[in-house]
Amino acid sequence: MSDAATHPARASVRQVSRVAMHLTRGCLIVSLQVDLSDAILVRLREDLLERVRADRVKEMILDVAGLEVLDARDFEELRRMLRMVTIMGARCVVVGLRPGVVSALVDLQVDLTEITATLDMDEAFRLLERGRRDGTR
Amino acid sequence: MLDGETVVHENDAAQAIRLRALYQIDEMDLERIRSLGSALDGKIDAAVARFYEWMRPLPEFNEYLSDPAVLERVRRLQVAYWVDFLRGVIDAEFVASRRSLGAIHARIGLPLDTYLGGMNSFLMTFSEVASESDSDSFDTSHVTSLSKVLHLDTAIVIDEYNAITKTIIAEQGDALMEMSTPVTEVWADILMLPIVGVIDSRRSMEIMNTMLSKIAETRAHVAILDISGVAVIDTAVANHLIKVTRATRLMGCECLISGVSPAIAQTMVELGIDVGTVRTTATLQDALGMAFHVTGHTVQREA
Amino acid sequence: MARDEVRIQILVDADVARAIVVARQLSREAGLSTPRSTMIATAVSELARNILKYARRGSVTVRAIDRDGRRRVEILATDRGPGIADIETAMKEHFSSGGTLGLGLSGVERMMDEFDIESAPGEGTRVCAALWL
Repeated sequence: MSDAATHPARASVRQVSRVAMHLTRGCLIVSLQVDLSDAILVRLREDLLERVRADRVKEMILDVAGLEVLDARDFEELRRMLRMVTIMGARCVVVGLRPGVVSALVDLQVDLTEITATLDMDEAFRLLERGRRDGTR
Repeated sequence: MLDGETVVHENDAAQAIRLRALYQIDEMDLERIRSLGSALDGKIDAAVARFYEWMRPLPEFNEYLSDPAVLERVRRLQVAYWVDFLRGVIDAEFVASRRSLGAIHARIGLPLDTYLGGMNSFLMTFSEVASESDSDSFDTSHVTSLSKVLHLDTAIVIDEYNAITKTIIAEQGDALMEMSTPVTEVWADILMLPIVGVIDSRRSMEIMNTMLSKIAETRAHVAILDISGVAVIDTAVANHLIKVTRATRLMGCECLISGVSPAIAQTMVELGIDVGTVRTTATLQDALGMAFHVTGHTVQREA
Repeated sequence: MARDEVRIQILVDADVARAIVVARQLSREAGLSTPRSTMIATAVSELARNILKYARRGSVTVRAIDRDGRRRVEILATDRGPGIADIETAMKEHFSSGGTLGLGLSGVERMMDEFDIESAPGEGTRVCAALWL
């Protein structure tokens, strides 16, 4: 029912949301290239969760290196999205949070405890691999 | 109209008074019924016979009355029914006998429209017989009185029919619930319970109890609750499922929840449900893989 | 045939179940995606259970309707129960006077595009919530 044909508004969102998603070594890598809008986030969330189910994704890396700004609301939205992916059984690592973004979030007193984050992709893969060996999430 | 025991309840008398008022039946109405009764004296057998002519082509006739012995017994009861009706007395016994009639029809599953059609057939026959017999002494007031009492009579039957039908539906629900918590030992040490449909408080209890007793019985170390068929996970259901996983842990059994669809994942997170340390997966297959890992099984395809 | 509006009396557990199933079907037929139909059904479940728990009886109406030039599926849950004295507190994440985690109302508010609650002690409660298409 969520075809672009029945949702013209969403179809245009799809064109502008350059959210790249690809599967590498069993890990779904999602790269946010543009700053976020509500419409992009809603679309991304539905696409992402569908992908997690369809490809039986067990690990996911959310690459936010492309984001210059990330306000508390957007971050909250992303965190909820990560929770959704997590309860579908995949482990998530956030990669590439910029210093400016992090300090802004800390200033805003956003709760960062449940987020697993690394600076770069290599480290993220190492972290996921270690988790796989331990059989934990 | 089959045989049945008539038991007078303590509120039947009050019910008789209430219904008489509701259907605006006074002594005059009952008097008219009685005069109809005397006019119909000796003609009830014929009316019942016409009823069976009406009924014979219906599928219900074959279903319920194909046995001649049953037919004869029912026929006699029916004659007694109308004799009783035409006595023009509405009291506790009258209410009780109509109630038991409704109960019988509900129990055998006779459709209500067939019942009403039957009543209509009698009404027509009685009107005809009455007008043939002595046209001067019967007028529209008799028809009105007859309709009032017939409506009252039918109301009691339908009321009881409804009550019994509801009981039957509740019983079916119970039976369904029995079947709806089929905990199976899918592998040595691994239990699985698929949950389908809507989870209400009764079913929640059932899930908990069945799961725990099965763990006690099998000493399994992993249990999988598959929720892919569950309609919604609201806070009450989520709380209960989390409780189940805590309870199974106390019995040395880890409980995994599988079948978390994108839709369920979104609503759970939006609702603010925190599953904490409960392990959840999108598919049953993933949960089974996890269960094998926990129990130390390795499954591999033959080379 | 697709129905645009369904009203369900909430008296027993089975009515909640029926409301859930009917709400989900109506939402799908109205064109909501599966996740959003599930949200409507979940909100109905939450609100109907609240009615049973606090007011004992009430009703839930679900309808697909155009309002302000926009198609939407809306839920109207009403009861004439004891009502809520302090709505603000009742909406807080962990408040509950019913024995379970009080996530319900605030969760429903978060899930919906629109949410409105009116209540006063002794006057019952009326919740209106909607998702846009």
